[in-house]
Amino acid sequence: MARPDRESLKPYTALLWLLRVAVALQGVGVAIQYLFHEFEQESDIFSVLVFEWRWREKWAMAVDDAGSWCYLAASMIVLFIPLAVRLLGYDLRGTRPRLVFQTLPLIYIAIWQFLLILAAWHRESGFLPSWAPLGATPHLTIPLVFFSQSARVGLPIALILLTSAVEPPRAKRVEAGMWVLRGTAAATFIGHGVEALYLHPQFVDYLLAAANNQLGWDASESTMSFILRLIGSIDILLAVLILVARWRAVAAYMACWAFITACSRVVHSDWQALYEVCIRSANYCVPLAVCLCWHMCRRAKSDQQNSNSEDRGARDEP
Amino acid sequence: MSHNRPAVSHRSPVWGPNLLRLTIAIAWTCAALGMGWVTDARGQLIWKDATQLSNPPGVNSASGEGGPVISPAGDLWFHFGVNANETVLMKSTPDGSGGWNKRTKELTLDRGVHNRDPFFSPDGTTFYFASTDRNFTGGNFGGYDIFAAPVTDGVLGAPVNLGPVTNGAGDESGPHYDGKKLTFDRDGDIYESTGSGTSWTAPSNTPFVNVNTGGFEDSPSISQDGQVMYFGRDNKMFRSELSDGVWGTGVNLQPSITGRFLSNDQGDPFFLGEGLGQTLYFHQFKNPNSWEISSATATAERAPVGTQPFHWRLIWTGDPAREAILSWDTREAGERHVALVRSADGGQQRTVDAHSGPYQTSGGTLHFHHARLRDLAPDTQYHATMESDGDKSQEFWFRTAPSEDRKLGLIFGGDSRSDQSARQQVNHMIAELVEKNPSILAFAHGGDYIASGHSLEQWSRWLDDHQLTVTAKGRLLPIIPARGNHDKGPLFDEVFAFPDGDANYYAVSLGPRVRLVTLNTNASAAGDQRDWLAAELAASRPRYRWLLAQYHRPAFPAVKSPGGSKQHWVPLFEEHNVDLVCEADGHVVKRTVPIRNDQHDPSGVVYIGEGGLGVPQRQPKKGRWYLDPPGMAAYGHHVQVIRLSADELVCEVIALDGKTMDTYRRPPRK
Repeated sequence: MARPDRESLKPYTALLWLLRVAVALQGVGVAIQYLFHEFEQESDIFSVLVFEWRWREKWAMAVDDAGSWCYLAASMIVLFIPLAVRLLGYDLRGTRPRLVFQTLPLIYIAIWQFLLILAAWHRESGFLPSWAPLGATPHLTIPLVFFSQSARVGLPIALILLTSAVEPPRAKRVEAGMWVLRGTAAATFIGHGVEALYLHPQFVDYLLAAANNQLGWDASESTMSFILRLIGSIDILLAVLILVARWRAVAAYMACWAFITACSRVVHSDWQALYEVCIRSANYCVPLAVCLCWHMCRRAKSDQQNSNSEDRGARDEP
Repeated sequence: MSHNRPAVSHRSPVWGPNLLRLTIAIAWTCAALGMGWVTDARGQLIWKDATQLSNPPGVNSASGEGGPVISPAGDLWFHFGVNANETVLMKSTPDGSGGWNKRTKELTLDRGVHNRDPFFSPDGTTFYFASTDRNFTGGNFGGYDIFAAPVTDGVLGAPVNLGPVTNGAGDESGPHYDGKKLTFDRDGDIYESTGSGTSWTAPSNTPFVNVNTGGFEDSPSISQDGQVMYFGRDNKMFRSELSDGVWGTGVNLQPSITGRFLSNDQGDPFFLGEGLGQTLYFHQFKNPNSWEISSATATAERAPVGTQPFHWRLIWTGDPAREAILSWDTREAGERHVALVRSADGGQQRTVDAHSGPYQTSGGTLHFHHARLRDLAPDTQYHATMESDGDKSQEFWFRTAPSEDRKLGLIFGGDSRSDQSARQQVNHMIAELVEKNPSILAFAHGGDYIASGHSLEQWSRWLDDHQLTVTAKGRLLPIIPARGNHDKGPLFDEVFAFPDGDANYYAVSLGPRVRLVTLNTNASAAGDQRDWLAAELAASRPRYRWLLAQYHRPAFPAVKSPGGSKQHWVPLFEEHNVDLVCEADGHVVKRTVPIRNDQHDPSGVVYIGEGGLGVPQRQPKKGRWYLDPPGMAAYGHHVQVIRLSADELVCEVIALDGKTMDTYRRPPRK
């Protein structure tokens, strides 16, 4: 395989900024939810430590708060250090600065986020979420939280791969990063799709609130249940499509839909729930990154073809 | 004396706890009343969930602890090995939620020697211990001797050697005194001596001829009735029964103890009795030079075999004045399951067929039976017996709700999912409250019965423990269940006799002027449930003086974020002037100020509860305006006792120690 030149990978740097912004938003969302909100609460990690492992509350709270503070700090470092470096004209391309200011913070974010998911899964006893329908049995279901929140872990991992792929240029890492983005976007949609098919009661409430508040439509729960099943089916279809095809429209639709559903929390619970839009930044930024990437690849390919045809034209000239 | 154990370890003895005081008192009362059903009808007793007591700065440390005993004041006493030359006696007080506070040294006896094996006489006036000290009154006759110190207002006096008859040149330790007889160990054998003060008969090992086998026997702990003895033998605990004045050889307790943190070696057992909910304290091996104090709670592991009814419960989800569901379980499916019911005023006995089936996930090993009792008379006492294929339960009784307007009570609580010991204590307390206050009609449970709703084992344990709410006189307290976020899956419906796929929201009338609405926070709050609630409240408000609601996830939380109830139900509560809303999930105690339009408003709705029936408790969050005075929030296991009369509603928070943490009163709305 031919080693790509630096110019061919340049478009990917735009993706890096998008993903850094997404990481920062996610960090802000986590910090608001677990540290600053009026109804600041503890994460599932705290709950596991106190209720399952019987830690003292203050120690568990200290660990939980420290984890959230570090999450916020790491996400700010990921965005603002490269930004400052760029604005000040310094060079962050060396291996060590990248390790300190990008890779390590991103590894921390990925690990803490994974622990949050693991704790949530553990608290749900590994199978059914608490809202699972009556009659649903564990062996028919999957640990949904690993799917529905996978983009939150995939985001920092993809950013690590892409950051290290640009300088020096490494096409395989770019490819791996893209597959992480596509895979976790698909998993997120599968998770939410299955939740919708199960008629997650909060989703029903979001739909009812949106219909009532935004459209003035006094819909019934049965109508919304039907719509929710439709939405769930579409989510799963999109998840499959983003894995098997390279259609920009699919990725763009997923980004838009994920943003709309994130905003539905605000529609339902007012601006106090804005942090929920932030904390879900990976859900819409990851498919958006995939869309942008495909778009840039297509444009680069098109430019290349134009350039080749111009070359051929020049050679054919007498 | 030390045999093959580390220098710091050893022995134990007897008496009753602070948080556990109520449990113990009830257990003793039950024993005195001959309530052998606690163990006899429930199969083999297992000491379950062995776990270390609180680590630093609580009971255990990196060094070695042993000889646990509960004092009459409810404090935990034990010894702690400072180093090879010094062992000190320590004390830890209950922290109010089933745990222990930071330990403190017993300074009276702190002389840089080995002091160990604390024990209190049954009347709490004398403190016994073993010591190598030579400077106490009476000196020392060699090695460890047993000493006694008077206790005045909880303060230890000067220790006195029990004398040369009891104490010899060897090591005497592990004292246990029942008021007449001192049982102790001497150089690896168990002896007893009768007397008091410094006057004792010559120690005899005759009753222990089968116990003293040549191994190293020590640390006798004898039950209240004097029929069962736990003791240590070569770093294992054994159980022995008294027969014709002689103790049996003893059976290794190891197979009867289960727990996540159980090690292979234990010793120094201390227990009060073997009933359900009792606690066994002991020390266990931690690492080559260290022991730590642990406890395990007694639970019936094996339920009755065959079609013997157990897990009995009475459920109110319909019209409590005329209907009730009497439910029980059996191990085998059986063929004919009936409830035999008769009114206490001499009415004819009725036989009611039960609806039966196997619990899902049970693999056919556990079967539920629900007998729907209809056409009951209001405000009437009924006697009921459950019968499955000829196997009968004991006879219970219950009372239907009144049809006349009179004073009545209700117990509310939530979250009983992950602290079984506390759950059992709370259930004992509920039984006692109902015994003392017959006007209490029912027990409204706000959800999170167990940690994992799909675990039949956990449900089975909860049902075991729920039986502890039965009063000493056999009264069944009806339960009004709400579903919590941990109660997922179909077992909740099967336990509480809801139809398959039921939405789990309903309303019951506890009297002609009291209505309790139960909601399901696991279902959509904005959809059909909201429509039903709006219609229910609109219809009920004009008819009922007191309108109450209960559900799991709070609208005005003390520690978490609000659930969907805040957006969708609170406006209805305010529109229809609900009098009291009971919430759970937070694991604290709370009572909000009256709230209307998200502001403190005397005409508003008060929200109480947050769950403390048996789950680790939390400190409430600060800065939540609705909990500021005159509202309140606190820490600790509890139940809410709600009394409703024509004049006022009184809501009391009762803590595990029986004390009232909060009282709230309000007159009826005009």
